[in-house]
Amino acid sequence: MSYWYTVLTFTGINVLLAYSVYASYMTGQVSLGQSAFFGIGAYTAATLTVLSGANLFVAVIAGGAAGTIASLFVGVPTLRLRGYYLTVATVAFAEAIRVVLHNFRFGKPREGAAGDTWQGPDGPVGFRHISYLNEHNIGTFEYMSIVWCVVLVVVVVFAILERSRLGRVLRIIEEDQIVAKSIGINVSFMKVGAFAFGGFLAGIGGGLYAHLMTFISGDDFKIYLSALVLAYVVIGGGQTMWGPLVGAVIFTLLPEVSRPVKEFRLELFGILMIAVMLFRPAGMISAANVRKWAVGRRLRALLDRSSPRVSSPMVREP
Amino acid sequence: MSDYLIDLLQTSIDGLLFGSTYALVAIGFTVIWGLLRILNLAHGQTVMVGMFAGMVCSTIFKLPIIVGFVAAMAAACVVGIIVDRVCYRPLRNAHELVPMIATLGFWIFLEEAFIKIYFYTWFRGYMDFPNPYTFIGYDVGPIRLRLDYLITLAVSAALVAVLYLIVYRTRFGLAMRMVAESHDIGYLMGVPVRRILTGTFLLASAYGGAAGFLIGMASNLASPQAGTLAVVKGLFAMILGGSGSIAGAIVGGMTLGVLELTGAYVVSFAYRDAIAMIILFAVLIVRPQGIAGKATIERV
Repeated sequence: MSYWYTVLTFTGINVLLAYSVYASYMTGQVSLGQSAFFGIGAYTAATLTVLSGANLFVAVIAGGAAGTIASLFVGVPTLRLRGYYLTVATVAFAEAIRVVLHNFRFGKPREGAAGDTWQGPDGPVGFRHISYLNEHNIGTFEYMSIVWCVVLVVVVVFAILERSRLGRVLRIIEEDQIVAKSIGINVSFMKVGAFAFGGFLAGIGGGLYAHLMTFISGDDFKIYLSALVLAYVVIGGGQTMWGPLVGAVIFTLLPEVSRPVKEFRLELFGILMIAVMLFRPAGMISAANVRKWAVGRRLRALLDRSSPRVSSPMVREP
Repeated sequence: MSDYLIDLLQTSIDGLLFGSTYALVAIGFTVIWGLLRILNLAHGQTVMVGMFAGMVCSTIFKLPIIVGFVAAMAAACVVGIIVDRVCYRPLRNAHELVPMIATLGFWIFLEEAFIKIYFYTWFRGYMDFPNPYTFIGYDVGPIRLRLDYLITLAVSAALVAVLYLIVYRTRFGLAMRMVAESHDIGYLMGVPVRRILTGTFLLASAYGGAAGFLIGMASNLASPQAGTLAVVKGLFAMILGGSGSIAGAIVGGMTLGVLELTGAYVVSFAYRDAIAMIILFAVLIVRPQGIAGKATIERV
């Protein structure tokens, strides 16, 4: 049973990552570097609990803050520019951060231990002995609950965002930046803000991941991770907040249930991404689906005929 | 001159020579970007496939180097055609992100498939790339020029010259420049836009395959991860130089090569990618159009 608790914890962390991509995806920016913010968050949080004995909550929030700062570092210079610059810069940033984390050595010798005598990030060996959960007697079930509480908060935040003015503003930026500018939206600020929020979520996910794994190294944060997380959003559907959630849950659980899927999951993801783009650019769950299934909204639509339309330029009619 | 300066000069020259392969990769990105305004993330896979085709020809079938080189370009062309047919042609009217994500899917799929094939068939077997020029070099004063790097530079320079001839001296190149200006006007003027775009994909992929062969030869290794590396370095070089212009890709590739090696020498080998990235960001802040780009980004 504790195996499945761990799997579910992973699922929760992947949902967080998927939302971190989705935050900037809402404004039409594709990030391929969430693994960098994930890794920075993981190292920051783990360093705080291991070396300065901080509380898990404080450490994870600090990890999120570190992710935010890193994403501002990438986002501020690149998001002013139009188009694909962010994608390129995040690819480069993720590779660079992986290398830095791989070589990062910091900490103090470990007392009273045979064999490994280093506490803290230890270069290519990795960051071992992140034993906060053991020391504080947090079982796999409790940790799963903690992670899913965080996920629930994030889902609620996105649900509110989607229904708010701010969410609509982000969607306008995705639709057409010039139009957005012409009606007085500060486009760069909004894009940087959305991206920084994504960095925050990835940092939090990283902090939770580090304490689940108890061992992290720079190689955990390869560019693949970013591509996979982007795949969750793209395949799940990037038009509404339900796409990332469903995509991350299905594609984390599916490899655990079926062995062949686990063996060939990356190939499967690749083919699915192409297929989704060719045949259903809106992803598994499109805005139209959500409208169709949302009972409450349909009732409201019956009451007043002007129900809000959430659409995306990703499905442009030829 | 002190030893430090001589070593610095030596690493800079090595970087300049090896940077020519980055320039070749960046040319592939920049040509497709110039004509389609779309990032082809699958371009790294043409580099990787070219590298493996060259390795198979030269190591397994023991064919001469030049045959391996041609085979690398041909195999890469096949990949380019597939990318064009699968990820671009059906999605020509879609939003610009749609084909980009499709090429990302292609990238993940091909790389993973190759890693599986590689581990099942060649692992610890044929990973060596043939390099007949190892340990041969010429001394110019205190500087030693490695022959394989010199050949890399010479081949890249020849390919770049051919590219300039194609773009500025042939009807196909004229049509390419037309399409880069506007697809619609191209159609109206009777330019076969689809065929030109396929031709552009072929051209870009052939250059990617050539780059793959040269990288494999200079580093003596064929690895399935080369595609990812090529994407990172090629995009980097393209942005550094200025996207959409061929001259920018060359300048960017050479600069990246020098930056990487001198950064590794002056600061630390472990952090060389980070150093290159900080410089890229500095360039993006000061000159978003890149080192060689014009204020309005030039196309092809």
